[in-house]
Amino acid sequence: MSTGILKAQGLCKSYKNKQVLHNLDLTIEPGKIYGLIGRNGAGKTTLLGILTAQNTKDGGQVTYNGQDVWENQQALNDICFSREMQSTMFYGRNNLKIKHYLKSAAIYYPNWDKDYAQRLLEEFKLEPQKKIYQLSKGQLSMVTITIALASRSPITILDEPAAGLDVVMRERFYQLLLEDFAQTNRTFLVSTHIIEEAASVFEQVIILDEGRILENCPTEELVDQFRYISGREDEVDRVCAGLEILSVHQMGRHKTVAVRGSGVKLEDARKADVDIAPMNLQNVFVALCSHGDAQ
Amino acid sequence: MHGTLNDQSLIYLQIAKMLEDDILRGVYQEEEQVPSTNELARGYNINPATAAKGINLLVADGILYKKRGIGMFVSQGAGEAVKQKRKAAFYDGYVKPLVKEGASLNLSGEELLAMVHRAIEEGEPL
Amino acid sequence: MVKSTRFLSQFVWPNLAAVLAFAVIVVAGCYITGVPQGTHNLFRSYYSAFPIMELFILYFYGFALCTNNLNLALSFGARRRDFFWGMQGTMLLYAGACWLLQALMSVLPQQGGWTELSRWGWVLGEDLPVGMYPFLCVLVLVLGGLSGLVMARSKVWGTVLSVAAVLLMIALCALLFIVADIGLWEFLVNGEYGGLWGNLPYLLGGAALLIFLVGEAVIWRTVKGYVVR
Repeated sequence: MSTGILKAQGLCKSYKNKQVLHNLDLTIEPGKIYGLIGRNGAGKTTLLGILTAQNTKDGGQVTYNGQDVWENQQALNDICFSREMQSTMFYGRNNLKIKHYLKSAAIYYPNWDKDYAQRLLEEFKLEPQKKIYQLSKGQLSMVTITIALASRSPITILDEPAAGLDVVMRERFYQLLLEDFAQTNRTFLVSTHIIEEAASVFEQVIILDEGRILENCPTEELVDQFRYISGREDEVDRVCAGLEILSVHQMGRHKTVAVRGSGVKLEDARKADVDIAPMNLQNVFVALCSHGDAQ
Repeated sequence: MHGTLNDQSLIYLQIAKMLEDDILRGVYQEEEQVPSTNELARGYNINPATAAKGINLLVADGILYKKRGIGMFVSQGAGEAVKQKRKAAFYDGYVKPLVKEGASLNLSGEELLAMVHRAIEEGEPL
Repeated sequence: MVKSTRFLSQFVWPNLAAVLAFAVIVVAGCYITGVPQGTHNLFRSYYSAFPIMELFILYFYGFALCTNNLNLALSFGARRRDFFWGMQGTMLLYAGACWLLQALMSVLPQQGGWTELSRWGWVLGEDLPVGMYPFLCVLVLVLGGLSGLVMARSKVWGTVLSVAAVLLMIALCALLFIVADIGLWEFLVNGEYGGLWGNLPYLLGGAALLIFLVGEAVIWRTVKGYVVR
């Protein structure tokens, strides 16, 4: 299957006079697993909604294969946006049954794989007759995951798929995702709060912070630019002179600094009497996006 | 990602190192096939692209080679190649840190060397 | 549009089955309690008001069309304009089915030899021009849909509108009962201002058509810009 390129340019969105997305540019290339990470309220779900033409925008454009996604049948056929499912729908309980969702998916997703869906339902022990409001939080996530995976859409977007799953099921989810990816090489965009676990699954990571894209690059490349440098404060200060400092933590004369630098600059630090430790994706994310909230 | 991988260094480097260690230990003999990108990805729950990067690193160093349509194989003389590669990195990776640590403990050059000799005697015959 | 029609049909059939079941219960109840022989009870009231009951129920189906059904379809990647037209087809289906049912209900007293035929009034559909009833069905569906869309925007106004609509329908029901029962209509039309009263149906009809067209236009506009939640 040939997948088009999903592209956002200059995207702007405001809610009640508050700007939520600022002039955002994003290109989703086919055949990769992307991770979209950002704090609560960063605008992840809004962004995903606009990319999939389920939400309206105030400025900029979103194209798939060069054509605007809005009301674009080709784009809507190729893209699956699997949201967090809710037990309550508008007013009162969500009375729909799992089979309604499956049937709807079969109608709207041209690549729907019924057998795959069936296997997943069996693995997750989900009964199609059950109503949504009767399901636990974990089971709701499993339904979302089933639909997303079985959709076999060229571009599949999952919004917080692991929320509500326990750690064992989360591992299973990553496994299923990777298995499907190995088989189909389709494009996945997964937005998540649970960063470090998922880091090894993402080929590319997109960091959204307060409506702006901070980073959009291969995960390992990004993580490799960051280090913790710690030791005696004057040594640490000397070493960090040419580096971008993200956070500082001090206890007496022991200082730990999170820095960003290129390979060469980090090499110089090695010669000094300081400890250099790598930062993982979660550390990097917190350093970039905490804005002082995490100490 | 699975247990044996950690977040102390980049994953693809760990994959490459694991394969090298396995070659040194004789887990994979020369001309034997090593796990494919997908097998590695599945085994460690990582993205196939990451596994591929690790393998490509070894291909670039001449330790693995690709047989079209079949998979990745251990090159002739791979064991030696890995040792050479590690020897080159030995100085920066082990000796310099040893000296640096010794200096911070105020050990003299002679004390350090004495310790090295002792370790050689206590350890496996070279 | 085909996709949206198929999508909606999974809800339409159970909904229509519910209406049918309701009809069956009412009819059965009538026969069991001797309504055809002249008993006046709740079953008789429901039977005589059945066309109105159907409209009542359609209001809620219309509501669902523009809330739950709309949201779900769009979340699966339906095109808004396709859904709108699928919705139109569904409304026609609802109207057609309800019209058929109403026709059956109107024929039964006459064919079944029920007594006091003259007092059955509205359900017999005598005074209604052909096509008026399905139009009313569609109108009620549109009103239900509008209420739903308002509710999606503002819970407060949506609730106000829904409650008002329900009260209005109940009031209309009661009014129709009374008018039919005491022969008020005949009295007015044959009285002093007969001409004016005679025009009322046309005025109401015109107003209904206007409301329908405006309602559809509002639904179209709102659906076009709908944001999935």
